[in-house]
Amino acid sequence: MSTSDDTRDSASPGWDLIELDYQDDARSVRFELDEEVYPRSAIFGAAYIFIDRCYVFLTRPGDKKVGVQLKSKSPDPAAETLEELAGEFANELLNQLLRFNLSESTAEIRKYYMARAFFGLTGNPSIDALLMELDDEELDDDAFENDALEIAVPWEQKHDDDGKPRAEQATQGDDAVKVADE
Amino acid sequence: MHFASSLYDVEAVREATQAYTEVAPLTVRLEKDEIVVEIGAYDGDQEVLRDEFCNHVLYKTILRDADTPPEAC
Repeated sequence: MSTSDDTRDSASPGWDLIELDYQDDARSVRFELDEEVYPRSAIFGAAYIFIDRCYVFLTRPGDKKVGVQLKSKSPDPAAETLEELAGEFANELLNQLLRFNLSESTAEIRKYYMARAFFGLTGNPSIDALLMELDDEELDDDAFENDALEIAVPWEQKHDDDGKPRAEQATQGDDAVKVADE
Repeated sequence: MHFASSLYDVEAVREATQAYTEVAPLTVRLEKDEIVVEIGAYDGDQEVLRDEFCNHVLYKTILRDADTPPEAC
């Protein structure tokens, strides 16, 4: 990044990435960004943060290039103020870029979590999964054969028309037979 | 005012124009790569109006961009 004064160019070679261009009205500063380095979402995110602090105007100076003009709302800002504004914008741009990259890299896992949360499965069940489910149900049917407490037997089968348990009647009948034998 | 149509949303420009209707008469014209907005008669400070309008258009564009679902891969 280099400013219009050359003091920083010699100090650090990396500064020539962004060239600040001060406008004649002394209220605005302009610089160009490469959209391949800073995606439009990141530029928009940074611009959104700065909208209440200054006037932000975007231009398209070339293919994959975005021109950013920051204009102070103060009628007579100091040059340092404009430089600070541009520097803070660049910082915010990096912050937004990081957010954008994190969002991209975690998109799949977020989709997976959402699918798990809403549907319990990551997609439509396959034929194999449905067949397995059917097998499980059949196994459950087998379990009824060992129904010692007769939970699976309907109430009507276990009781007569008066509502008395059939098993008790059978027991009483057996007792009557025993008494008769005696 | 010239807005690059690859950056600014034309609907956002229209919405902003409608919001400013009571402030000043504004006309929108679409050109090849630009959306051109012209300000009619306005008694106040035209520069402030221009700057505020541009901020409003950018604000609307960013909101619309955030609502747009990402393109399918």
